[in-house]
This record gives sequence, structure tokens and C-alpha cells, in this order.
Amino acid sequence: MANKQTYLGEFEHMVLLSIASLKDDAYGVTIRQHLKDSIDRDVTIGALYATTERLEKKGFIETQLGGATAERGGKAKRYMQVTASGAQALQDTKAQLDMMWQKLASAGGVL
Amino acid sequence: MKIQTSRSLRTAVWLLQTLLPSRLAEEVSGDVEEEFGELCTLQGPEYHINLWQQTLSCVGKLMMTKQRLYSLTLALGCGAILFVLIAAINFLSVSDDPSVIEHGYWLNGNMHLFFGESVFWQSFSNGLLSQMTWDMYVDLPSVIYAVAALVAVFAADKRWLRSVQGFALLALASIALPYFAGMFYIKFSSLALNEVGPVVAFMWLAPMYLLPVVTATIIKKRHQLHLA
Repeated sequence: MANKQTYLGEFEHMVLLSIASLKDDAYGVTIRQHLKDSIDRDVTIGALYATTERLEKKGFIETQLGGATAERGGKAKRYMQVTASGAQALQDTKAQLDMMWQKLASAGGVL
Repeated sequence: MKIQTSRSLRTAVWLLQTLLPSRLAEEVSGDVEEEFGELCTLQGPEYHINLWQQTLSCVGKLMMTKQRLYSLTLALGCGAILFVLIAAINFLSVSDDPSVIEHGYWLNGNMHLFFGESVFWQSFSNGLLSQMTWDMYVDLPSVIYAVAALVAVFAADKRWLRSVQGFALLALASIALPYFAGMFYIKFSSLALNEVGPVVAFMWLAPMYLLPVVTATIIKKRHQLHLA
């Protein structure tokens, strides 16, 4: 039986891709900005952190504190990195999406 | 460089640091401060709407962790039981309605049936609680039992149990013991109605003393376990 946790939700997918794209500079503010700039998606900080908490529990990302600056009132940033299983989940999701699009195309397409 | 922040932003950051779980409070409030501190000079209605939309979204989505929900449920459950026990003792102390006292359950040990009496629940709206005095809730045997039970449960926890579940099970047993002991004592003794009163006081007051301490300890232990 397939493990439900290995599947990525649509927003989880976007956030994970953002974290992967931002490499060593992925934290709340930059991820939000990346999502806004890339796909014009304006997400709230609360929704973003709720998702990253879920991704961390699933083992798809790991986080570490650092980068406290004056503009943040001396508060640390939570830097995020995609783990090996997170990268695998991204690959699997992409493969599944590609497969579904191919099947749609071979069926003549409806779009 | 000193960053100028608005009062609104300082309030929002304080709210986030106060309400969010400790593992998220710093980074989330830092993100809010970083984003909105930059816009501080452009303050207008839009700035405040956006700031508070973000802040309240964070509070709404991140404040209630499983751990906090569990603690809240436990505290509310404990509060509800305490309230009912306080009201029941008050009712028996000040009510002049003889119909409840005449019921057979006081003499056969099934006094939990009292909590199904409509006259008891109606007493809330009849203002009976306003006649409450603190001495209704003082009972020496109950105090002695509660202290002894707490000492025994904490000692057993320190020496053998060392787990939240173990502590909770033993503590709940110590809370339930006076009730069931009293129930069986009344059931198998031929007590007169005036002799039942002190037994009922022990059955209800001893758990009432124990419940808040046990609940607070379970919440604290779970919190420590969560942080570890």
C-alpha cells in the first residue's frame, strides 16, 4: 500500500520548489517573495509556516536558525533546505504530473 | 543602525511572540518585522491592514498546536468537572428543596444520579451559586487524603513511573478512589441519611482538591516532553 505521506500537496509542491531554488537563502521572507515573483502567488506568512512545518514533519525539509539582523529586531531566521527524501518527493511528483499530462495528450487533450 | 518601527508593528511582534509556540515565535515575528519594518515610512491604511492580516493569519494558523489543543481540552475538562462539583456541594449545602434529599440514591451509593436531577441544573439560573461560602469546601479528611495521595503519586512517579501516561493513570486512580470507596461504603453499610453527608463530602471534595494539581502537572509534563 502506498504511503500517503510521500505525496505532495499542490502548495507543498510550490513551497518545496521555492526552497530548492533559493538554495542557502530560503527562509520565510525570501520564499514568500519567490512565490510572488515566480507565480504571482501572494501567500500569508501563517500559511507558509503551516506548510513548512508539515514538510519538516514529513522529512522533506530540514531547518536551522541563523542570520539574525538589525532589520529583524535581532531575531533569527529559520533557514530551510530540501532533504534527500524531499528531493525524491519532488522528482516523483514531477514524474506523476508528466505522466498525467502525457496521457491527457495521447487521449487527444481536452484543454 | 537603529531601525525605526511603528507602534502597530511593535504590537504585532509582541502578539506573535506571546501567542505562537516557542519554536516558531522568533522566526515568524522576525519575518514580520523584516517585511513591515522596511515599509514603515510608507505607513497608510494599507500598511496597517496588510500587517494585521499577516499577523492574525499567523496567530490563527500557527497558535494552536496539538500540544496546546490537548492542554486546552484538559484544562477545560478539569474546569467543567470542578464547576459541577462546586455547584453540587453548594446545592446540597444551601438548597431548601427536600425532594432531592429524599431520593434513594443517597442511601444505595448511586449518588451520581444526582447529577441528572433537573432541579440541580435549574439551580444555576435560580441564583443558588450566589449563596456560596468558602467553608462549604473545607473538609479535613479530604485534605488529608489529597495531600497523602499527591505525595504518594509524585513519589511513585519519581521512583518508578517517569512517564506522563504512568503518572496520569496513577493520579486518575487516586482521584477516582475516594468516589468509588465512598460509593461501596454507602452501598454495603446501613447508613442513616445524616451519616451519608460526610461520606459524600469526602467523595466529592477529595477529587476536587486533587484534580487541578493533577491536571496542571500532566499539562506541564507533556509540555516538557514536547520541548525535549
